[in-house]
Amino acid sequence: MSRYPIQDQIAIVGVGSTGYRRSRPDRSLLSFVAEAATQAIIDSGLSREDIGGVCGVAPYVPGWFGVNPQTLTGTLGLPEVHYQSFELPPIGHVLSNAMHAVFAGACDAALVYNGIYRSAALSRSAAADPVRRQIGPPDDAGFGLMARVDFAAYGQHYFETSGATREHLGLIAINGRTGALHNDLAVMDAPLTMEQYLAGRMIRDPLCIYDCDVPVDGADAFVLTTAERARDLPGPAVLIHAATVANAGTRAVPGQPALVSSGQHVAAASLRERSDLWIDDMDVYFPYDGFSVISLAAIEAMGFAPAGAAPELLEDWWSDAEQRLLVGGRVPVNPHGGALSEGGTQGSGHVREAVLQLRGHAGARQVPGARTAILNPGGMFHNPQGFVFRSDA
Amino acid sequence: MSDDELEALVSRSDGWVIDHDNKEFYAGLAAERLLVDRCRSCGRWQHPPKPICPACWSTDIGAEEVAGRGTVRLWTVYRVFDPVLGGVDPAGARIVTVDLDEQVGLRLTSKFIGSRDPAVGDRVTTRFVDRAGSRFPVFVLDDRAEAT
Repeated sequence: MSRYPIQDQIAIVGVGSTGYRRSRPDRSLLSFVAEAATQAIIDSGLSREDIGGVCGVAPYVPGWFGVNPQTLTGTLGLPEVHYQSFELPPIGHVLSNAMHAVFAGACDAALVYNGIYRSAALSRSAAADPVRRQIGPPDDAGFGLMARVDFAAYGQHYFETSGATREHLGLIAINGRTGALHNDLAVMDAPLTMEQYLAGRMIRDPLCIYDCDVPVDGADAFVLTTAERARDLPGPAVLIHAATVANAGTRAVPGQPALVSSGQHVAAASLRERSDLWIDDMDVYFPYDGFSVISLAAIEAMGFAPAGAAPELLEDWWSDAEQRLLVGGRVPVNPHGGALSEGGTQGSGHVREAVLQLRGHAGARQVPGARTAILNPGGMFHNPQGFVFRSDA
Repeated sequence: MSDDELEALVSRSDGWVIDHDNKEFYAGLAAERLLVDRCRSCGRWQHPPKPICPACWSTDIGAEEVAGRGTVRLWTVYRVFDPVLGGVDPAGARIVTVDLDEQVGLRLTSKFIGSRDPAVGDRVTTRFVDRAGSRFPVFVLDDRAEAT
Protein backbone atom coordinates (compact mmCIF):
# COMPACT_ATOMS: atom_id res chain seq x y z
CA MET A 1 0.00 0.00 0.00
CA SER A 2 1.62 3.20 -1.10
CA ARG A 3 -0.82 5.63 0.50
CA TYR A 4 -2.24 5.14 3.96
CA PRO A 5 -1.23 8.27 5.87
CA ILE A 6 -3.63 7.64 8.78
CA GLN A 7 -1.75 4.52 9.91
CA ASP A 8 -0.91 4.79 13.66
CA GLN A 9 -1.95 8.46 13.70
CA ILE A 10 -5.14 8.11 15.73
CA ALA A 11 -5.33 6.74 19.26
CA ILE A 12 -8.03 5.36 21.50
CA VAL A 13 -7.42 7.11 24.82
CA GLY A 14 -10.60 6.52 26.80
CA VAL A 15 -12.91 3.59 27.40
CA GLY A 16 -16.14 3.20 29.34
CA SER A 17 -18.72 0.46 29.68
CA THR A 18 -21.88 -0.19 31.64
CA GLY A 19 -21.44 -3.93 31.29
CA TYR A 20 -24.32 -5.90 29.83
CA ARG A 21 -27.58 -7.17 31.33
CA ARG A 22 -30.34 -9.47 30.24
CA SER A 23 -32.63 -9.06 33.22
CA ARG A 24 -35.14 -6.24 33.20
CA PRO A 25 -33.45 -3.03 34.25
CA ASP A 26 -36.04 -0.26 34.18
CA ARG A 27 -33.64 2.15 32.57
CA SER A 28 -33.59 3.99 29.29
CA LEU A 29 -31.12 3.35 26.49
CA LEU A 30 -29.98 6.95 26.97
CA SER A 31 -29.04 6.19 30.58
CA PHE A 32 -26.72 3.38 29.47
CA VAL A 33 -25.12 5.47 26.72
CA ALA A 34 -24.65 8.49 28.99
CA GLU A 35 -23.03 6.38 31.70
CA ALA A 36 -20.54 4.74 29.33
CA ALA A 37 -19.81 8.05 27.58
CA THR A 38 -19.00 9.97 30.75
CA GLN A 39 -16.80 7.10 31.96
CA ALA A 40 -14.87 7.16 28.68
CA ILE A 41 -14.37 10.93 28.73
CA ILE A 42 -13.21 10.88 32.37
CA ASP A 43 -10.94 7.90 31.65
CA SER A 44 -9.31 9.76 28.76
CA GLY A 45 -8.21 12.66 30.93
CA LEU A 46 -9.88 15.06 28.50
CA SER A 47 -12.68 17.42 29.52
CA ARG A 48 -16.11 17.91 28.02
CA GLU A 49 -14.85 21.05 26.29
CA ASP A 50 -12.33 18.91 24.38
CA ILE A 51 -14.95 16.63 22.81
CA GLY A 52 -15.54 18.05 19.33
CA GLY A 53 -16.95 14.95 17.67
CA VAL A 54 -19.78 12.62 18.66
CA CYS A 55 -20.24 9.44 16.64
CA GLY A 56 -22.63 6.75 17.70
CA VAL A 57 -24.63 3.65 17.07
CA ALA A 58 -27.76 2.99 19.03
CA PRO A 59 -30.25 0.48 17.76
CA TYR A 60 -32.70 1.61 15.18
CA VAL A 61 -36.00 -0.19 14.94
CA PRO A 62 -38.89 1.15 12.87
CA GLY A 63 -40.70 3.90 14.70
CA TRP A 64 -37.91 4.39 17.22
CA PHE A 65 -34.66 6.20 16.70
CA GLY A 66 -32.55 5.16 19.65
CA VAL A 67 -29.99 7.68 20.90
CA ASN A 68 -28.56 10.01 18.30
CA PRO A 69 -25.53 12.32 18.72
CA GLN A 70 -27.72 15.42 19.06
CA THR A 71 -29.57 13.91 22.00
CA LEU A 72 -26.37 12.71 23.65
CA THR A 73 -24.59 16.05 23.15
CA GLY A 74 -27.43 17.86 24.90
CA THR A 75 -27.75 15.26 27.62
CA LEU A 76 -24.05 15.44 28.52
CA GLY A 77 -23.83 19.21 28.13
CA LEU A 78 -20.96 19.06 25.63
CA PRO A 79 -20.48 22.74 24.79
CA GLU A 80 -18.84 22.68 21.34
CA VAL A 81 -19.46 19.75 19.02
CA HIS A 82 -18.64 20.21 15.35
CA TYR A 83 -18.59 16.70 13.92
CA GLN A 84 -21.34 14.13 14.32
CA SER A 85 -22.34 10.86 12.77
CA PHE A 86 -25.12 8.41 13.53
CA GLU A 87 -24.73 5.02 11.96
CA LEU A 88 -25.98 1.51 11.67
CA PRO A 89 -24.17 -1.22 13.62
CA PRO A 90 -21.61 -2.78 13.85
CA ILE A 91 -19.31 -0.49 15.84
CA GLY A 92 -16.71 -0.20 13.05
CA HIS A 93 -18.74 2.36 11.14
CA VAL A 94 -18.55 5.00 13.85
CA LEU A 95 -15.07 4.06 14.98
CA SER A 96 -13.92 4.58 11.42
CA ASN A 97 -15.90 7.83 11.02
CA ALA A 98 -14.44 9.26 14.22
CA MET A 99 -10.89 8.25 13.37
CA HIS A 100 -11.06 9.82 9.92
CA ALA A 101 -12.72 12.96 11.30
CA VAL A 102 -9.93 13.46 13.84
CA PHE A 103 -7.26 12.79 11.23
CA ALA A 104 -8.85 15.24 8.79
CA GLY A 105 -9.06 17.92 11.47
CA ALA A 106 -12.85 18.06 11.70
CA CYS A 107 -12.36 17.66 15.45
CA ASP A 108 -9.42 17.01 17.77
CA ALA A 109 -11.15 14.47 19.99
CA ALA A 110 -14.23 12.39 19.35
CA LEU A 111 -16.59 10.41 21.53
CA VAL A 112 -17.66 7.09 20.01
CA TYR A 113 -20.55 5.16 21.54
CA ASN A 114 -22.51 2.00 20.98
CA GLY A 115 -25.73 1.42 22.86
CA ILE A 116 -27.91 -1.65 22.67
CA TYR A 117 -31.41 -2.04 24.07
CA ARG A 118 -33.74 -4.98 23.72
CA SER A 119 -37.11 -4.36 22.18
CA ALA A 120 -40.03 -6.45 23.40
CA ALA A 121 -39.57 -8.85 20.46
CA LEU A 122 -36.06 -9.82 21.59
CA SER A 123 -36.50 -11.21 25.08
CA ARG A 124 -39.12 -12.26 27.57
CA SER A 125 -37.80 -9.97 30.29
CA ALA A 126 -37.83 -7.01 27.90
CA ALA A 127 -41.37 -7.87 26.83
CA ALA A 128 -42.46 -7.65 30.47
CA ASP A 129 -41.55 -3.96 30.46
CA PRO A 130 -44.57 -1.86 29.39
CA VAL A 131 -42.24 0.84 28.06
CA ARG A 132 -40.50 -1.55 25.69
CA ARG A 133 -43.74 -2.92 24.35
CA GLN A 134 -44.06 0.46 22.60
CA ILE A 135 -40.78 -0.01 20.72
CA GLY A 136 -40.82 -1.46 17.24
CA PRO A 137 -43.03 -4.04 15.58
CA PRO A 138 -43.27 -7.68 16.67
CA ASP A 139 -40.52 -9.79 15.16
CA ASP A 140 -42.73 -11.48 12.58
CA ALA A 141 -40.23 -11.37 9.74
CA GLY A 142 -38.66 -14.72 10.56
CA PHE A 143 -40.86 -16.78 8.28
CA GLY A 144 -41.91 -16.63 4.67
CA LEU A 145 -40.76 -14.46 1.81
CA MET A 146 -38.69 -12.08 3.90
CA ALA A 147 -37.21 -14.76 6.17
CA ARG A 148 -33.77 -13.84 7.40
CA VAL A 149 -32.08 -17.07 6.40
CA ASP A 150 -28.68 -15.55 5.72
CA PHE A 151 -26.45 -16.80 8.50
CA ALA A 152 -28.28 -20.05 9.20
CA ALA A 153 -28.55 -21.00 5.55
CA TYR A 154 -24.91 -20.07 5.06
CA GLY A 155 -24.08 -22.37 7.97
CA GLN A 156 -26.09 -25.20 6.43
CA HIS A 157 -24.28 -24.69 3.12
CA TYR A 158 -20.95 -24.55 4.94
CA PHE A 159 -21.66 -27.82 6.74
CA GLU A 160 -22.49 -29.46 3.42
CA THR A 161 -19.32 -28.25 1.69
CA SER A 162 -16.64 -28.29 4.41
CA GLY A 163 -17.14 -31.27 6.69
CA ALA A 164 -17.91 -28.95 9.61
CA THR A 165 -20.08 -30.37 12.35
CA ARG A 166 -21.94 -28.82 15.25
CA GLU A 167 -18.95 -29.64 17.46
CA HIS A 168 -16.88 -27.10 15.53
CA LEU A 169 -19.38 -24.33 16.19
CA GLY A 170 -19.42 -25.55 19.77
CA LEU A 171 -15.72 -24.76 20.11
CA ILE A 172 -16.48 -21.11 19.33
CA ALA A 173 -19.27 -21.02 21.90
CA ILE A 174 -17.32 -22.78 24.66
CA ASN A 175 -14.23 -20.63 24.01
CA GLY A 176 -16.35 -17.53 24.58
CA ARG A 177 -17.89 -18.87 27.75
CA THR A 178 -14.47 -19.70 29.22
CA GLY A 179 -13.49 -16.05 28.78
CA ALA A 180 -16.76 -14.67 30.10
CA LEU A 181 -16.25 -16.48 33.41
CA HIS A 182 -13.47 -13.98 34.15
CA ASN A 183 -15.31 -10.89 32.88
CA ASP A 184 -17.52 -8.94 35.28
CA LEU A 185 -19.17 -7.11 32.38
CA ALA A 186 -20.40 -10.36 30.79
CA VAL A 187 -23.96 -11.68 31.13
CA MET A 188 -23.25 -15.41 30.90
CA ASP A 189 -21.49 -16.64 34.02
CA ALA A 190 -21.92 -20.43 34.02
CA PRO A 191 -19.42 -22.80 32.37
CA LEU A 192 -20.52 -24.44 29.11
CA THR A 193 -19.59 -28.02 28.19
CA MET A 194 -19.76 -29.66 24.77
CA GLU A 195 -22.53 -31.94 26.07
CA GLN A 196 -24.59 -28.89 27.07
CA TYR A 197 -23.82 -27.20 23.78
CA LEU A 198 -24.93 -30.21 21.74
CA ALA A 199 -28.15 -30.41 23.77
CA GLY A 200 -28.84 -26.73 23.10
CA ARG A 201 -32.23 -25.88 21.63
CA MET A 202 -32.03 -25.52 17.84
CA ILE A 203 -33.02 -22.04 16.65
CA ARG A 204 -32.34 -21.91 12.91
CA ASP A 205 -30.53 -25.03 11.66
CA PRO A 206 -27.64 -25.56 12.08
CA LEU A 207 -27.51 -22.83 14.74
CA CYS A 208 -28.61 -23.60 18.27
CA ILE A 209 -29.22 -21.21 21.15
CA TYR A 210 -25.49 -21.15 21.98
CA ASP A 211 -24.60 -20.09 18.42
CA CYS A 212 -26.63 -16.88 18.61
CA ASP A 213 -25.44 -13.89 20.59
CA VAL A 214 -27.26 -12.97 23.77
CA PRO A 215 -29.69 -10.03 23.56
CA VAL A 216 -28.64 -7.49 26.18
CA ASP A 217 -28.94 -3.91 27.36
CA GLY A 218 -25.77 -1.91 27.73
CA ALA A 219 -23.34 0.54 26.20
CA ASP A 220 -19.66 0.98 25.49
CA ALA A 221 -17.93 4.24 24.70
CA PHE A 222 -14.51 5.32 23.53
CA VAL A 223 -12.59 8.56 23.12
CA LEU A 224 -10.29 9.05 20.13
CA THR A 225 -7.72 11.73 19.53
CA THR A 226 -4.45 12.16 17.68
CA ALA A 227 -1.53 9.93 18.63
CA GLU A 228 0.47 13.08 19.32
CA ARG A 229 -2.05 14.44 21.80
CA ALA A 230 -2.49 10.98 23.33
CA ARG A 231 1.12 11.06 24.53
CA ASP A 232 0.25 13.99 26.83
CA LEU A 233 -2.69 12.15 28.39
CA PRO A 234 -2.51 9.99 31.52
CA GLY A 235 -3.49 6.53 30.24
CA PRO A 236 -1.72 4.16 27.91
CA ALA A 237 -2.91 4.82 24.35
CA VAL A 238 -3.92 2.26 21.77
CA LEU A 239 -3.14 3.20 18.17
CA ILE A 240 -5.43 2.35 15.28
CA HIS A 241 -2.91 0.88 12.88
CA ALA A 242 -5.38 0.07 10.10
CA ALA A 243 -9.13 0.08 9.62
CA THR A 244 -11.62 -0.95 6.99
CA VAL A 245 -15.40 -0.89 6.64
CA ALA A 246 -16.08 -3.11 3.67
CA ASN A 247 -18.87 -4.20 1.42
CA ALA A 248 -19.40 -6.21 -1.72
CA GLY A 249 -22.23 -5.58 -4.10
CA THR A 250 -23.51 -9.12 -3.90
CA ARG A 251 -25.89 -10.36 -1.27
CA ALA A 252 -24.44 -13.69 -0.29
CA VAL A 253 -27.10 -16.33 -0.07
CA PRO A 254 -26.54 -20.01 -0.82
CA GLY A 255 -25.95 -20.66 -4.47
CA GLN A 256 -24.49 -17.26 -5.18
CA PRO A 257 -20.82 -16.72 -6.00
CA ALA A 258 -20.47 -14.42 -3.00
CA LEU A 259 -20.09 -17.49 -0.83
CA VAL A 260 -16.59 -17.76 -2.21
CA SER A 261 -15.82 -14.05 -2.34
CA SER A 262 -17.92 -12.10 0.13
CA GLY A 263 -17.67 -8.68 1.69
CA GLN A 264 -15.54 -10.34 4.34
CA HIS A 265 -12.93 -11.13 1.71
CA VAL A 266 -13.04 -7.48 0.66
CA ALA A 267 -12.50 -6.46 4.28
CA ALA A 268 -9.59 -8.85 4.72
CA ALA A 269 -7.86 -7.74 1.51
CA SER A 270 -8.38 -4.07 2.32
CA LEU A 271 -7.03 -4.48 5.85
CA ARG A 272 -4.07 -6.49 4.61
CA GLU A 273 -3.15 -3.75 2.14
CA ARG A 274 -3.19 -1.08 4.86
CA SER A 275 -1.51 -2.98 7.66
CA ASP A 276 2.17 -3.69 8.29
CA LEU A 277 1.09 -6.20 10.93
CA TRP A 278 -0.76 -9.38 10.10
CA ILE A 279 -1.91 -12.65 11.56
CA ASP A 280 1.57 -13.86 12.55
CA ASP A 281 2.18 -10.61 14.46
CA MET A 282 -0.95 -10.52 16.58
CA ASP A 283 -1.20 -11.25 20.29
CA VAL A 284 -4.99 -11.44 20.55
CA TYR A 285 -7.67 -12.08 17.92
CA PHE A 286 -11.29 -10.89 17.76
CA PRO A 287 -13.34 -12.62 15.07
CA TYR A 288 -16.98 -11.54 15.24
CA ASP A 289 -19.30 -14.12 16.75
CA GLY A 290 -22.80 -12.65 16.59
CA PHE A 291 -23.49 -16.07 15.11
CA SER A 292 -20.76 -18.65 15.72
CA VAL A 293 -20.48 -19.53 12.04
CA ILE A 294 -19.32 -15.97 11.26
CA SER A 295 -16.09 -16.68 13.13
CA LEU A 296 -15.33 -19.65 10.88
CA ALA A 297 -15.92 -17.52 7.80
CA ALA A 298 -13.67 -14.76 9.19
CA ILE A 299 -10.87 -17.21 9.90
CA GLU A 300 -10.93 -18.33 6.28
CA ALA A 301 -11.34 -14.84 4.80
CA MET A 302 -8.37 -13.59 6.81
CA GLY A 303 -6.21 -16.36 5.40
CA PHE A 304 -5.66 -18.47 8.51
CA ALA A 305 -7.01 -21.42 6.53
CA PRO A 306 -8.18 -22.11 2.98
CA ALA A 307 -11.91 -22.21 2.23
CA GLY A 308 -13.56 -25.05 4.10
CA ALA A 309 -10.56 -25.71 6.33
CA ALA A 310 -11.53 -23.67 9.38
CA PRO A 311 -12.98 -26.69 11.25
CA GLU A 312 -9.66 -28.53 11.09
CA LEU A 313 -7.83 -25.39 12.19
CA LEU A 314 -10.16 -24.93 15.16
CA GLU A 315 -9.29 -28.46 16.26
CA ASP A 316 -5.59 -27.50 16.10
CA TRP A 317 -6.21 -24.29 18.08
CA TRP A 318 -8.33 -25.96 20.75
CA SER A 319 -6.72 -26.39 24.16
CA ASP A 320 -8.67 -29.02 26.02
CA ALA A 321 -6.88 -28.17 29.27
CA GLU A 322 -7.84 -24.49 29.04
CA GLN A 323 -11.20 -25.02 27.27
CA ARG A 324 -10.36 -22.27 24.84
CA LEU A 325 -8.88 -21.55 21.44
CA LEU A 326 -5.25 -20.51 21.18
CA VAL A 327 -4.03 -19.56 17.71
CA GLY A 328 -0.71 -21.30 17.20
CA GLY A 329 -0.94 -22.49 20.79
CA ARG A 330 -0.39 -18.90 21.93
CA VAL A 331 -2.95 -16.27 20.84
CA PRO A 332 -6.32 -16.11 22.67
CA VAL A 333 -9.53 -15.58 20.72
CA ASN A 334 -12.27 -13.28 22.10
CA PRO A 335 -10.92 -13.58 25.66
CA HIS A 336 -13.79 -11.42 27.02
CA GLY A 337 -16.38 -13.99 25.94
CA GLY A 338 -17.37 -12.52 22.59
CA ALA A 339 -20.91 -11.63 21.65
CA LEU A 340 -22.01 -15.20 22.41
CA SER A 341 -21.15 -15.04 26.10
CA GLU A 342 -20.36 -11.45 27.04
CA GLY A 343 -23.45 -10.17 25.25
CA GLY A 344 -24.40 -9.17 21.72
CA THR A 345 -23.43 -5.56 21.14
CA GLN A 346 -22.43 -5.50 17.50
CA GLY A 347 -18.70 -5.56 18.12
CA SER A 348 -18.29 -2.85 20.73
CA GLY A 349 -17.38 -5.46 23.35
CA HIS A 350 -14.66 -6.80 21.05
CA VAL A 351 -13.26 -3.28 20.58
CA ARG A 352 -13.36 -2.57 24.32
CA GLU A 353 -11.57 -5.82 25.15
CA ALA A 354 -8.91 -5.16 22.51
CA VAL A 355 -8.26 -1.74 24.07
CA LEU A 356 -8.12 -3.17 27.60
CA GLN A 357 -5.76 -5.95 26.50
CA LEU A 358 -3.36 -3.59 24.71
CA ARG A 359 -3.39 -1.23 27.69
CA GLY A 360 -2.59 -4.13 30.01
CA HIS A 361 -5.84 -3.51 31.89
CA ALA A 362 -7.64 -6.83 31.26
CA GLY A 363 -7.20 -8.23 34.77
CA ALA A 364 -7.53 -12.00 35.04
CA ARG A 365 -7.95 -12.20 31.25
CA GLN A 366 -4.77 -10.29 30.47
CA VAL A 367 -2.74 -11.73 27.62
CA PRO A 368 0.85 -11.23 28.87
CA GLY A 369 2.64 -8.53 26.90
CA ALA A 370 -0.18 -8.07 24.35
CA ARG A 371 0.85 -5.41 21.82
CA THR A 372 -1.16 -6.14 18.67
CA ALA A 373 -4.81 -7.07 18.14
CA ILE A 374 -6.72 -7.91 14.99
CA LEU A 375 -10.49 -7.46 14.92
CA ASN A 376 -13.11 -8.54 12.41
CA PRO A 377 -16.40 -6.94 13.49
CA GLY A 378 -19.50 -7.66 11.45
CA GLY A 379 -20.80 -10.53 9.38
CA MET A 380 -19.66 -11.86 6.02
CA PHE A 381 -22.39 -10.30 3.93
CA HIS A 382 -23.13 -6.58 3.99
CA ASN A 383 -21.22 -5.26 7.01
CA PRO A 384 -17.76 -6.87 7.37
CA GLN A 385 -15.12 -4.70 9.02
CA GLY A 386 -11.51 -5.01 10.04
CA PHE A 387 -9.17 -3.28 12.48
CA VAL A 388 -5.59 -3.65 13.57
CA PHE A 389 -4.77 -2.02 16.91
CA ARG A 390 -1.35 -1.72 18.47
CA SER A 391 -0.14 -0.46 21.81
CA ASP A 392 1.78 2.82 21.80
CA ALA A 393 4.21 1.63 24.47
CA MET B 1 -43.84 2.48 39.89
CA SER B 2 -45.77 -0.78 39.48
CA ASP B 3 -46.15 -2.47 36.11
CA ASP B 4 -49.89 -1.75 36.18
CA GLU B 5 -49.26 1.97 36.74
CA LEU B 6 -46.62 1.98 34.02
CA GLU B 7 -48.92 0.09 31.65
CA ALA B 8 -51.68 2.63 32.29
CA LEU B 9 -49.25 5.45 31.63
CA VAL B 10 -47.89 4.11 28.33
CA SER B 11 -51.35 3.22 27.00
CA ARG B 12 -52.72 6.77 27.33
CA SER B 13 -53.90 8.36 24.13
CA ASP B 14 -52.55 11.86 24.57
CA GLY B 15 -49.65 11.41 22.21
CA TRP B 16 -46.62 11.27 24.49
CA VAL B 17 -44.13 8.42 24.29
CA ILE B 18 -43.33 7.31 27.81
CA ASP B 19 -39.85 6.05 28.65
CA HIS B 20 -37.94 5.25 31.83
CA ASP B 21 -36.59 8.80 31.98
CA ASN B 22 -39.90 10.69 31.69
CA LYS B 23 -42.35 8.33 33.41
CA GLU B 24 -42.20 10.20 36.75
CA PHE B 25 -43.00 13.50 35.07
CA TYR B 26 -46.01 12.12 33.20
CA ALA B 27 -47.23 10.12 36.20
CA GLY B 28 -47.10 13.37 38.21
CA LEU B 29 -49.40 15.11 35.78
CA ALA B 30 -52.18 12.62 36.55
CA ALA B 31 -51.98 13.81 40.16
CA GLU B 32 -51.82 17.46 39.00
CA ARG B 33 -48.24 17.77 40.18
CA LEU B 34 -45.29 19.04 38.18
CA LEU B 35 -42.43 16.64 38.99
CA VAL B 36 -39.19 17.86 37.44
CA ASP B 37 -35.81 16.12 37.39
CA ARG B 38 -33.30 17.37 39.90
CA CYS B 39 -29.73 16.21 40.51
CA ARG B 40 -29.40 14.83 44.03
CA SER B 41 -25.69 15.48 43.91
CA CYS B 42 -25.44 19.14 42.87
CA GLY B 43 -29.07 20.28 43.11
CA ARG B 44 -29.44 21.33 39.48
CA TRP B 45 -32.89 21.07 37.91
CA GLN B 46 -33.40 20.01 34.29
CA HIS B 47 -36.30 19.53 31.93
CA PRO B 48 -37.12 17.57 29.76
CA PRO B 49 -36.23 14.54 31.88
CA LYS B 50 -32.78 13.04 31.34
CA PRO B 51 -30.93 10.20 33.11
CA ILE B 52 -27.80 12.20 33.94
CA CYS B 53 -27.02 15.67 35.26
CA PRO B 54 -25.58 17.81 32.45
CA ALA B 55 -23.61 19.86 34.97
CA CYS B 56 -21.89 17.31 37.21
CA TRP B 57 -22.60 14.01 35.34
CA SER B 58 -24.14 12.38 38.39
CA THR B 59 -26.72 9.74 37.53
CA ASP B 60 -28.44 10.21 40.89
CA ILE B 61 -31.47 12.03 39.51
CA GLY B 62 -34.88 12.31 41.16
CA ALA B 63 -38.11 14.05 40.27
CA GLU B 64 -39.18 16.84 42.65
CA GLU B 65 -42.24 19.03 42.60
CA VAL B 66 -41.95 22.58 41.32
CA ALA B 67 -44.46 25.34 42.04
CA GLY B 68 -45.31 25.88 38.39
CA ARG B 69 -44.80 29.66 38.52
CA GLY B 70 -42.55 31.54 36.16
CA THR B 71 -42.01 34.16 33.50
CA VAL B 72 -42.87 33.89 29.80
CA ARG B 73 -39.64 33.83 27.76
CA LEU B 74 -40.86 32.75 24.28
CA TRP B 75 -44.23 32.35 22.62
CA THR B 76 -45.91 31.51 19.32
CA VAL B 77 -49.29 30.39 17.98
CA TYR B 78 -49.68 26.88 16.54
CA ARG B 79 -52.24 26.66 13.74
CA VAL B 80 -51.46 23.07 12.85
CA PHE B 81 -53.30 19.76 13.13
CA ASP B 82 -53.68 18.57 16.72
CA PRO B 83 -54.12 14.78 16.74
CA VAL B 84 -55.97 14.89 20.07
CA LEU B 85 -58.44 17.52 18.87
CA GLY B 86 -58.64 15.73 15.52
CA GLY B 87 -58.27 19.04 13.74
CA VAL B 88 -56.89 22.57 13.80
CA ASP B 89 -57.93 24.76 16.73
CA PRO B 90 -59.73 27.61 14.89
CA ALA B 91 -58.43 30.14 17.38
CA GLY B 92 -54.92 28.73 17.15
CA ALA B 93 -53.07 27.32 20.13
CA ARG B 94 -50.92 29.82 22.01
CA ILE B 95 -47.72 28.10 23.13
CA VAL B 96 -45.37 29.61 25.71
CA THR B 97 -41.95 28.68 27.00
CA VAL B 98 -41.70 29.69 30.63
CA ASP B 99 -38.63 30.22 32.82
CA LEU B 100 -39.65 28.52 36.05
CA ASP B 101 -38.83 30.35 39.26
CA GLU B 102 -36.83 27.45 40.71
CA GLN B 103 -33.74 27.99 38.53
CA VAL B 104 -32.52 30.31 35.80
CA GLY B 105 -32.82 28.43 32.50
CA LEU B 106 -35.23 25.77 33.81
CA ARG B 107 -37.89 25.97 31.13
CA LEU B 108 -41.24 24.34 30.54
CA THR B 109 -43.25 24.70 27.35
CA SER B 110 -47.02 24.30 27.17
CA LYS B 111 -50.25 25.93 26.09
CA PHE B 112 -51.21 29.37 27.31
CA ILE B 113 -54.88 30.01 28.10
CA GLY B 114 -56.02 33.60 28.47
CA SER B 115 -58.15 36.40 27.11
CA ARG B 116 -55.21 37.96 25.32
CA ASP B 117 -51.97 36.85 23.67
CA PRO B 118 -49.10 36.20 26.05
CA ALA B 119 -46.17 38.61 26.17
CA VAL B 120 -42.55 38.04 27.04
CA GLY B 121 -42.16 38.91 30.71
CA ASP B 122 -45.72 37.92 31.73
CA ARG B 123 -45.86 36.26 35.12
CA VAL B 124 -47.71 32.96 34.76
CA THR B 125 -48.78 29.98 36.85
CA THR B 126 -49.98 26.47 36.05
CA ARG B 127 -53.53 25.10 35.80
CA PHE B 128 -54.47 21.55 34.89
CA VAL B 129 -57.02 20.87 32.14
CA ASP B 130 -58.27 17.74 30.42
CA ARG B 131 -56.58 16.51 27.25
CA ALA B 132 -57.67 13.20 25.72
CA GLY B 133 -58.68 11.95 29.15
CA SER B 134 -55.39 12.92 30.82
CA ARG B 135 -54.59 15.87 33.04
CA PHE B 136 -52.45 18.39 31.20
CA PRO B 137 -50.68 21.51 32.54
CA VAL B 138 -51.33 24.86 30.88
CA PHE B 139 -50.12 28.31 31.78
CA VAL B 140 -52.40 31.17 32.78
CA LEU B 141 -51.62 34.70 33.87
CA ASP B 142 -50.65 34.70 37.54
CA ASP B 143 -53.46 36.47 39.48
CA ARG B 144 -51.10 37.20 42.34
CA ALA B 145 -48.77 39.00 39.99
CA GLU B 146 -51.59 40.97 38.38
CA ALA B 147 -52.90 42.06 41.78
CA THR B 148 -49.59 43.63 42.77
